[in-house]
Amino acid sequence: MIKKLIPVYENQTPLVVLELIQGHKISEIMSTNVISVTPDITMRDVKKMMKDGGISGMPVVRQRRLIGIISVEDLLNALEDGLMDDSVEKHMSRNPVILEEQMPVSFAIDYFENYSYNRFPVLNENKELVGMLTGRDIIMHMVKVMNREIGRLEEIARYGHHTEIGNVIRRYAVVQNDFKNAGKASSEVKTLLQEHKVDRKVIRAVATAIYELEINQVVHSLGGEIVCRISDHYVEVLARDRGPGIEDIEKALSEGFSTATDWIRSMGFGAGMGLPNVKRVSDDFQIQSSTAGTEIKVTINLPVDNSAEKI
Amino acid sequence: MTTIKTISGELSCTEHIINRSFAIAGIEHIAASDLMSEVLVAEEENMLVITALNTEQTIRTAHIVDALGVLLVNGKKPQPGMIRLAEEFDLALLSTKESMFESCAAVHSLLKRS
Repeated sequence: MIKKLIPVYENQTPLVVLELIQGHKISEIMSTNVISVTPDITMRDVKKMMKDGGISGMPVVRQRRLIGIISVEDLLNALEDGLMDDSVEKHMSRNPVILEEQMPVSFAIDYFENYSYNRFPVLNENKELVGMLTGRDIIMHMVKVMNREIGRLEEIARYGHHTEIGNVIRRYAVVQNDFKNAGKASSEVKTLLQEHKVDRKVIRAVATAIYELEINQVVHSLGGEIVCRISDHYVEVLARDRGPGIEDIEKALSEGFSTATDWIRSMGFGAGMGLPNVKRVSDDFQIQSSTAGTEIKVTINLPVDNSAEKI
Repeated sequence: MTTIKTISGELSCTEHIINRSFAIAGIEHIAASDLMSEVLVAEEENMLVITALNTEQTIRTAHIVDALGVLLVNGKKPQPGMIRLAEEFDLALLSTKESMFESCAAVHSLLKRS
């Protein structure tokens, strides 16, 4: 395999970084105020538009369908050959490489790696042009989420030094649609509790809660994290994600209600049992949700006489 | 009560992972579903999970409910990741060509017989 220049998929890529590039969709980061042209205008018009707008390339659109891209390079060629009164259609590049708005950002990074273009048109599921994506958009997005993520990690690191809340803190990043890694947090916490000889029924409750919360984030959120605090007397699980939020919490907590798609069902989930299940196994259950994200805090008590041996 | 080995014989299963102690361990309850959340609702011990869902999440779910093993039906073959995970979690992993209905009926009569 050829080694890629942009090291996004190395074996040791930290989860937080994977989350940054896989947990966001192109639709979240693309420019949507796109200046496009129709195929019938002249190259002279294009020159004026590019000069006035300070742009180096524009999509060519006919009835909202993308039919080509016209760039400064095409313009220079037309200028050299004295063909400035030709229509754009004659000089544009046809069959441009496109991105889809639902693709994760990692796809776009791959595209910039694989093609020499500086911009990609972005289409929606109806094949209509909805935006453009440049390297600049990606940098802006990365810096924004990096600030937020690193800030949060610092907060957790600080939290971790205070032992009065919990003796053990584990943090897991959850990536949208990543069924492959869902369940790792619950497996790891389960093993940890088993090592400390916690009552089996309690372990099962904790593992079930964490697992359902992980799956919930994989299926319904844009990505998030699970933080577990294990103390001598209880296990606290905090699941927070980056949205889009639960529209009707009461409904989400009723058994059998689900907004899952057929695809999610084909993966074995979406029975409408997730949150009710979490609530069922926990001693305390709190939920808050807005479009900015959902935060669920679950506490499961460890039996007093049989609590975790010195964790 | 029945055993994984008995079930395996009854349904002519392919035994992908079969731990010796589990092979004779008693199966007392069955969770049969293709939706894992429904399996997670079960509160019984000594379970066998019967499903047509051949993803790693099946094994993780079985692990969480402390099941002894997983039986894949409808001729579904386990993905390589499933076998690896079943080994790690020490779970039996069988597959059969029989349908969900046939499999459940057969296991049910085994459970009743003993």
